[in-house]
Amino acid sequence: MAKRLVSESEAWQSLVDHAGEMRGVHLQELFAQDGDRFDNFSRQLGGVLFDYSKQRISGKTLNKLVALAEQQNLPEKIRELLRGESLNSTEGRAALHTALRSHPDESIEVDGHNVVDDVHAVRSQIRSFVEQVRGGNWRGFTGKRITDVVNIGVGGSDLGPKMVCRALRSQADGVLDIHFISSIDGAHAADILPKLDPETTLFVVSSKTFTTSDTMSNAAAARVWLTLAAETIVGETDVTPHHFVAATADIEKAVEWGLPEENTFRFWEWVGGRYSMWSSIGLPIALYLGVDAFDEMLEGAWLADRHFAAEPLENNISVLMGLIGVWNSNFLGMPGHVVLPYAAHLNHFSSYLEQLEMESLGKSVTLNSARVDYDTGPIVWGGVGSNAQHAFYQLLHQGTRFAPMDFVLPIDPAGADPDQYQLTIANCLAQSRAFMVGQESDDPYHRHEGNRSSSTFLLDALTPKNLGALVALYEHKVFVQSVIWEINPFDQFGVEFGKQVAGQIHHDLLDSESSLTQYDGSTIGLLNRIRREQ
Amino acid sequence: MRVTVYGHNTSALVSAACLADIGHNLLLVSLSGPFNGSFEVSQLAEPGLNKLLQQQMDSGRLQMSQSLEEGAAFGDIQYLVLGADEFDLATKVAKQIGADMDGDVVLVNRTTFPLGASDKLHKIVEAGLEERESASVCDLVVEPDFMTEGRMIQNFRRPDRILLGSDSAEGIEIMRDLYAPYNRNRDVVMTMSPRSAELTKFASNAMLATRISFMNEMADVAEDVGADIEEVRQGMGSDQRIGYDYLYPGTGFGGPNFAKDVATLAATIREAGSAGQLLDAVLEINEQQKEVLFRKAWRHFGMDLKGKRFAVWGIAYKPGSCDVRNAPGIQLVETLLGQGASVHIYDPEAMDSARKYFGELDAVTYGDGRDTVLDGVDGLMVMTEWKAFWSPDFNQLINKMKTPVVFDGRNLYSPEKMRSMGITYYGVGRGEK
Repeated sequence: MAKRLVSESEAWQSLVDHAGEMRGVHLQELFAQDGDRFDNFSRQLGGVLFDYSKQRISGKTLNKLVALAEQQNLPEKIRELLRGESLNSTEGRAALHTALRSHPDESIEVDGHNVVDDVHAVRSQIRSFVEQVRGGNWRGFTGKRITDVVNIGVGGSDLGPKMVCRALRSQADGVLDIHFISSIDGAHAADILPKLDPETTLFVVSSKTFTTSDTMSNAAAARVWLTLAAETIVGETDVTPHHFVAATADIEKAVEWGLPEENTFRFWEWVGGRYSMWSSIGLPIALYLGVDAFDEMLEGAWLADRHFAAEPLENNISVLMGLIGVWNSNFLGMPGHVVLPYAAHLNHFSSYLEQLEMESLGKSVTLNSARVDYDTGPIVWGGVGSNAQHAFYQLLHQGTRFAPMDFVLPIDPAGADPDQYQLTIANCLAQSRAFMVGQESDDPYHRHEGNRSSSTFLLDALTPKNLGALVALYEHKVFVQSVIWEINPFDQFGVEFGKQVAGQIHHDLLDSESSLTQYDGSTIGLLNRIRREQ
Repeated sequence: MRVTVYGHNTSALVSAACLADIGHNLLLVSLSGPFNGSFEVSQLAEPGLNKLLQQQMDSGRLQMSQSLEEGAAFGDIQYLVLGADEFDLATKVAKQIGADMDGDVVLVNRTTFPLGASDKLHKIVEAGLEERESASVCDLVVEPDFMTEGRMIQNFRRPDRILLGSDSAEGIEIMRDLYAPYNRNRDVVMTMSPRSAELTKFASNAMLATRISFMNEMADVAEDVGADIEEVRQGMGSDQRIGYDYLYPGTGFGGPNFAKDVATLAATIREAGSAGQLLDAVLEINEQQKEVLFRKAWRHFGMDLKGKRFAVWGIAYKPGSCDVRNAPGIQLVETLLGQGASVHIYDPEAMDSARKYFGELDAVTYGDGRDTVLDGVDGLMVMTEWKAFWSPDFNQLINKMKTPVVFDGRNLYSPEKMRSMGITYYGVGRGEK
C-alpha cells in the first residue's frame, strides 16, 4: 500500500491555503501591523542573533508551520537523531555528528557501545599531537620544526577545515601556515608544493575510506615530492612517518599506505563527510588555530545541539530556519537559497553550505520509497555579500526569479580597520532593507517592488564558538527539512554513481584500444577526440 | 667630579668602580630589588670586579643608595647604565633628575635603548627644569657601551675608543675631563650626534652578528661541497679587508644583550618602513644554527632520540661567563628534552645558572666534572669553548661513553684525529672530501 505523501496531509494543505493569503502581503505591511516584530521574530543563541523578521510570515504562518512539524513527528525525530538511532536508513547507520561535540560525561550508545569515550580518546590524541607540532617537538627528516601544514582531502575532508581556517585566520598566531590540496587534476599540488620546504612540511591526508581517488593521487604525488627531497638532502627515502598523518575511518588502509598507527586519527562510519569537520577531519583547524580554538568551535556546536534538543519548536532556531525554508520553497514558490556573509574571511562559507544542504537534501524519493511530488532541497549558492553586490545581486533585486537570502554579519571587525568596517555593516543592513522596501519610481527601470525575504545572522564576533554554533544551526536546519520532506539527508547515491562512471571512463582512457560502444554518442565523440589529441 | 650611576648590572658596577678608582666621587643608585650592598653572584664573576668594588667602597669614594632623590641631587654627571628593557625605569630617573638636579648637569646614557630613547629621556629632564622654572642646563651625551663580558674593567680603562654623541660642546668637554686619566696614551675620544652614537652601537653589533651568520651559512655550504670551514675561515681571515675576528662558525650567538640588540635594530628598521631583509635573515639563520647539533644527532640516530642520553659540555653562552640567558646550549637541551632524550650537563662556571633555569627534572642531571658526565652517554655535545674542553683524554672518553659520538659545536677537535681514534665526529662545516 503506497503511503500518503506529506503534500497530501492536512497540515500541508492548510499551508497551501494560507500561502494564498500571504502571497499578496508586503513585508512592510507586516512591520506596520506589529511594532514589536523584530523582538517577536528574532532569537538569540550565545553570541548569535537570528533575525527572521524580514521573512514573509505572520504568527499564523508560524503556527501552521509548527503544526506541520508536529504532524511529521519532528520532536521525536530530533530525539532519535541525538540518541544515535539508525536514521541513515538507506545505509543502515546512525548520523552522530552531534556525538563529536559531546561532553565527556554524556553517553551516546551505538550498538550498546558508548561512543563518547571513543570521541574523547581521539580528541586527546589530537590535543597532544597538535601541542607536539605547534610546540616544535615534531620534527621533519632533517630535524627542523614544522612550519607548514598541507591538508589533502576533498569534499567534506576539504571544505570544512578550509572554510574554518579561512574564517578564523585573523586569530591564527602564525606558528603554522595552512594549505589545502583537493583538486584531482594536480593543479593545487602544482601551485602549492613548489612554494613549500619539504623539510618543514607536514601533510594531513583526510579520507574516510582512505581510497578516495582524488585524495590518494594527491597524497602519492606529495609523497614523491617529499621522498625526492629527502633522498637528495639526507640520502634517506623512508621519511613518510615524519611528514604524513591521516584522518580516516579506515586505520588499516592508512597503515598499509605506510603510516605508523600513532600517525592515524580515527573517525567513524557514523560520521558523514559533510558533517565531519568536528571529528579528526578538523585536525588542520586545530593545527592552524590551536587546539583550544578547535575545542571552542566544538563547544559552540554543542550549544546549538543543546538548543536544538531542548527548545520548543517555535523558539528553536534550527527548526525556524528549516520551516521558513520549507515555507519559502514549497508554499511561496521561491526556487533557491542564497548565503551572503558580510566578512571577507567567510568566503568559503557558502561553498561549505552548498555541500551541506545540496548533498543532504538533493533527493526525490521518500523514506518510504515513494517519488515526491513537491520540491525538496533548493539550489544554494552565495558569496561574500559585499562582493556579490557587484555580481549577482541585480537578479535578486529586479529579476523575474527570486531566492530568499541569509545574511551573516559579525559586529566585531576582527582586525580589519574599524572605520572601514562600518561600511561593511552599512552595506549589509542596506541590502536587506533595500530588498524588503524596494522603491517607487515613475521610471519603470528604476522601480523596485521590494518584498524580498531574508534572514540575518548577527554575530557579536567571528569567533570559533560562534562559527561552530552557526554551522551546527545549519546542520540541524537541514535535518528539520529532511523530516518535513521525508527524505534521508545522510546518503548521496548520486555522487557515488558519478564516481563509478568515472572509474569506467578512466579505465578506457588508459586503455586506448578498448571499445567505447557502451557509451552515448557525445561521450564517444569526446573520448575519441581526446584519444587523438593525447 | 660628583657622578651618580644608576643601574645594578655588571656594566653599572664596573663603571662606578672604575670612575671612583680615578678619584671621582660616586653614588651608585640601584633601583631594582632589595639592595643592601650585596651583588648577584653573576655580577661578581667579572674578573677583578669584586676586589675593585671593595677598594672603592673602603676609600669612601663609592657610596651606595636606593634613593632616586639622593641620586638626582648628587651628581654633576648623571649616568644611566640600566638594562635594555628598563626604559620605564629610565623615564622615572629622568623625571627625578628634572625635579631635583642642582646646578648644570650632564645626562649620560650608556644603556642600549631603542634608537631615539636618549632624546626622549633628555626631553623629560628639560620638561622638569622648565616646570620649576630652573635656569640650570642639562646636556645630553650618548655613550654606547662596548664592553664585553669577562674583559670589562680592562675595556673601561683602556677603551679602543670613547664614543660621545652630543650636540653640546660643554657636555663633551666635561666628559673629556671625566675620562682624562683613561685617555692619556692617545686621544681615543670620537664625537658625533646623539642619534649617530646610538646607531653606531646597534650597527656594530649587527655587523658582527652578520659575520657570524654568514660564516654559519658558509659552514653549511662547506658540508654540502666537501670543504672544511676551518680552512676556509683561515683563508678568509688572512685577507686584511676581512680579518679573523667574528669569523667562527658554531652553534649561533646568544647571551643577554647581543642578539637582542640585533633584533631591536631589525624591528626599528621595519618600523621605519624599510625592508630590513638582511638582519631578518641573520637572525633566522642564527635561530636555525642553535639547533645545528640537534639536527646532526637527529640524523645520526635515525630520526629518533627517545631514550638517548647526551653529555653537554658547556651551557654558558660563552666561555668566561656564567650567564645562560639566551644561550644556544639552553635551546639545545630543551630541544633534546622535547624528543624524550636526557642530558648530563657540565659547565665550569654556569652550573648554578643551569640548575636555576631547568630546575629539578628527571631528564636533566648536573655533573661535577668534565669527564664524569660522559659515563654511559650515547653522544657528547660541545656547546661552549671553555679551555678545559680543548684537550680531553679521548681514550677515557671512548671508554666512558656508550657510543663514542662527538658533536662539536665549536670545532675544537681535528676530524682526522677523531676518526683515526674511532670516534664518530661531527663538527660544524667540516665536510669530507
